[in-house]
Amino acid sequence: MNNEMMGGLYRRDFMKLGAMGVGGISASGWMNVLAGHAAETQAKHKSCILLYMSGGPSHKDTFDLKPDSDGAGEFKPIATNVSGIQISEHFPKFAKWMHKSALLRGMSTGEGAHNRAAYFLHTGYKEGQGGLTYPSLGAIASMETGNPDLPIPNFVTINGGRSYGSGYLGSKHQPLSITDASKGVSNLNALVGDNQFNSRVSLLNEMEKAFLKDYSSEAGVAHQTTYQRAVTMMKSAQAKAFDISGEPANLRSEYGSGKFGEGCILARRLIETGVRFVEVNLGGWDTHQDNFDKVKSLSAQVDAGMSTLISDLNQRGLLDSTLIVWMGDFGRTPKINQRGTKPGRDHYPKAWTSVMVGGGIKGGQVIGKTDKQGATVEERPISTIDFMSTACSVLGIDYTKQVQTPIGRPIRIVEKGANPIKELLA
Amino acid sequence: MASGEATLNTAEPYRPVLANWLTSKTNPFFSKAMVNRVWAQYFGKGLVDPIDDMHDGNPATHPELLEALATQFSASNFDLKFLIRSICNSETYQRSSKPNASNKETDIALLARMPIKNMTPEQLFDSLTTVLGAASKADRGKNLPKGARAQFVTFFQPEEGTSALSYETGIPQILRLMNSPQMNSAVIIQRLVDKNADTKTAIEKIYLSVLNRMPTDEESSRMTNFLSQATDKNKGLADMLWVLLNTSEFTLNH
Repeated sequence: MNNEMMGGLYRRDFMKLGAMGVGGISASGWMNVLAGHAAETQAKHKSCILLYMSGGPSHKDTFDLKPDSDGAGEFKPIATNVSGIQISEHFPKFAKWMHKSALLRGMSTGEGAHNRAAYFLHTGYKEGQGGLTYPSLGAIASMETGNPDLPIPNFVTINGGRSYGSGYLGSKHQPLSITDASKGVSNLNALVGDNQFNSRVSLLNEMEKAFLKDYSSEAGVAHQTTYQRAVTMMKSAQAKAFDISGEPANLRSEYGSGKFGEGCILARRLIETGVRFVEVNLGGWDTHQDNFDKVKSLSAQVDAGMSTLISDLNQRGLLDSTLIVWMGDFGRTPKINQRGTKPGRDHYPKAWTSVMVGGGIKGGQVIGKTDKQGATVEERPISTIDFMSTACSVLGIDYTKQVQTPIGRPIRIVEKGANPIKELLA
Repeated sequence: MASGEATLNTAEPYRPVLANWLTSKTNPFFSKAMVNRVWAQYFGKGLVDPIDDMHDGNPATHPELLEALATQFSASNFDLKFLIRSICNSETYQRSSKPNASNKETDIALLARMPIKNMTPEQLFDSLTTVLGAASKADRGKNLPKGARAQFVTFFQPEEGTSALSYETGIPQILRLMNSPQMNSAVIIQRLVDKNADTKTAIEKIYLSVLNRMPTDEESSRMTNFLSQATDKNKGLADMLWVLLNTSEFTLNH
């Protein structure tokens, strides 16, 4: 009962705040308090770029090669700039950044179906658990570390894929989804002049206020908030970050000319502008058939996009404050299937590899170890919540914090039982 | 399951057996699940929520009501029209979504008032084209590229599991609602409002077309004032149309 009452209060307070924001009263006391607090905590907060490999990349053909195993595959290992650490021959550029990177070879995550695995890895909770929709890491970062005064969203996703949005955190932390980095945001500009647009928006605000007075509702508040965010973004200088056309041609070709390279360059521009979390999707890793040709060509895209992203951020002094995460739905079977005309590998969540770069982590490390076949984790298994708590810790987010859902139910950012990888935290 | 085990005859197809077993009146789950789904369609939320999460750990908000509807639905031989008629003729369904002094503080799940729902992408598209395409019946659909509805629906589709009671439309979708050529066409006004109409009539015509109601006196004077500042009458009316199409009142089912 108490909880319900608290929930009611919480919701009403939220609605009042929302209505105030829309009414334009933004310089009130609590805003200044928030801004002061934000400045204070800004230093320990990091930004994040998640390079999400939809479909699930084969660990044995990327970052955990097993040349002497059954189903070793076609690729050769190469040395990196950290002695003793080897990766696939198709990541020659990335090999030069091993000192800033950590390979997490003990991933063991339990979900073997694409959607459920991706949901779990984005949110730290299993889909459907407790009847809630959970926020993804990007929405959590937006809430916990985002700059509330940034006129563009603190969470942007590029190249589609399912974004796993803000769940119970609500519309304020929903990702802005960009389907094609080269086109930026569609319909960003008004089709009428500034004065005419402004007078339309102020009339709309009056209508909205009147409606919400009669029909108070969460949906109505969210409608106002989201319109306000869209209008703010349209008018902001920061929205220019979405236009990658001004980037030098040679840099663009270093990133790679495909959608993934363009997504990476846009990610860098957004992080520079102050966006906290950018997710860039690269699909095609579901290599049940024709594994080796596909992984080779996808690896080339990752090597160009990710390595140039690292060096570009490094050059701008942003690498130590930006964590890059490379991961997919799961790994792929240690053995090769010969079902099709060309050999393939199937889903394998039991043992696989993800990669973290920059963000001030201790680089040049391998965490966890699989057996000779790449089939089981022998040292330092990393569960989904271990992984989430590690990412949160690097980003300066207290993963043990309880967040209130709209009905006042307290939910931890990461569930109890997580064991973050301390060796990574510098 | 209470309906017990079905007997399979290996010589016959299995599917009809499954269907009969599933919809048997001794199966206590089928009727409740169906009632809950239909209920959610009308109220935006099932008596059990989420609708597919029916188990002892997730009880209905109104267990007796669910039980009664399920029993009668089953007794009607699963007549959907009977079920819909029962729901729509209820006082609960016919309640206003406008909160009053006695129910504004109560939990929406108790249904003391009708919940406010977001339109589905299909409803939004059809509502928009009803306004924007209604002026000329002959033109209806003509100016739309092939598959426009399907494209719109895909673009506006919320993520699976999004509650109808929450508004989770994203910024790209709102940018399209504000800044696409279709939403900024001045031609619509010429079709919608007679060129000789006085201001009052024009305002009323646009209110009726978009919001299905007459403007209040306060709104009438606000709009008259707004239009008086416009450099061009049609431009002013086009602005007004744009505003009404972008309101919560138009977008939310209330």
